[in-house]
Amino acid sequence: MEALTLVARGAVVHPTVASAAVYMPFPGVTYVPLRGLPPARSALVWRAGAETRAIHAFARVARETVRPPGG
Amino acid sequence: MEVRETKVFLVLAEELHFGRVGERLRLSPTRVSQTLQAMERRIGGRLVDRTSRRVRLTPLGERLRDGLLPVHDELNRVVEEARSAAGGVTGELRLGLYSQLVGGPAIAEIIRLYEERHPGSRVAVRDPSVTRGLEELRRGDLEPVASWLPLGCPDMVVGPVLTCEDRVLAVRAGHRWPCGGMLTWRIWRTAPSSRGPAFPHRPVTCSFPASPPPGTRSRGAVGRTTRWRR
Repeated sequence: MEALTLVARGAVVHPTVASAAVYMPFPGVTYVPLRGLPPARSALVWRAGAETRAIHAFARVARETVRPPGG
Repeated sequence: MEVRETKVFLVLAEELHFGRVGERLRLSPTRVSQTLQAMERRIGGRLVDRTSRRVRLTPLGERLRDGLLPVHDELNRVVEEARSAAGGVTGELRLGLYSQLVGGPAIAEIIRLYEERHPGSRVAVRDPSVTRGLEELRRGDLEPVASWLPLGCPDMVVGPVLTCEDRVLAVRAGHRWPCGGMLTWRIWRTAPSSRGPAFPHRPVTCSFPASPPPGTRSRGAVGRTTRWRR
């Protein structure tokens, strides 16, 4: 939110992802498509060597739920 | 009374149709009917009225259904809990989610399904700051964290991808850019920039610094202005 206030004031531009336009509409801010870069990806991460059954179970559900791009 | 019979009776009480009960439980309608008759014999009264047109519960059947339902649900819950405990999936999973964007639209469904599948377990969502997320992960205060990629941290495991989205630039409405409707990386790199998900802090990410366009090299963020060097 703080970043968007700065954007609306014209102080900065704010790189983000396309769905920000849906999640974070903000008065005085528009979202402009950005070319020339690969898509931004996010993933579940955890500490190596600290895997628990719960983490594996959660990751399994995530894998089943998130459809691959274009799928 | 057997658990299997109870199940047949409760599904019949819901469907009021022998064929559909058979389909749901993978039994022949005849088998459903025989099971019901056996129950009625044991109880000593009719549970279901069967006319040529319709099937419905008798008052006795309704009472039995009302009494059995909570017991049956409880039985299922106990068995599920034991199953989860046997698999070690119980207790609280502390998920770090520092914005709606990083979790993507599927995260709520993932949490719901996980809790449904492991009734002895729940997910506590925490919202650490971008920089604190990995520290808390390292300390063991958080278990998985949803993070932007690439991570560039060899002590972390990168699991399933949650989102894959085109990048945009949030700009002041009415701001005029030299190229019209779409921006290229080359143009916005010269503008003072905040650090968004597409350009987060180290060490959580080095999303932009780690993947600058070919032929350029990152000098990282200086204040709020991003500089790049060819």
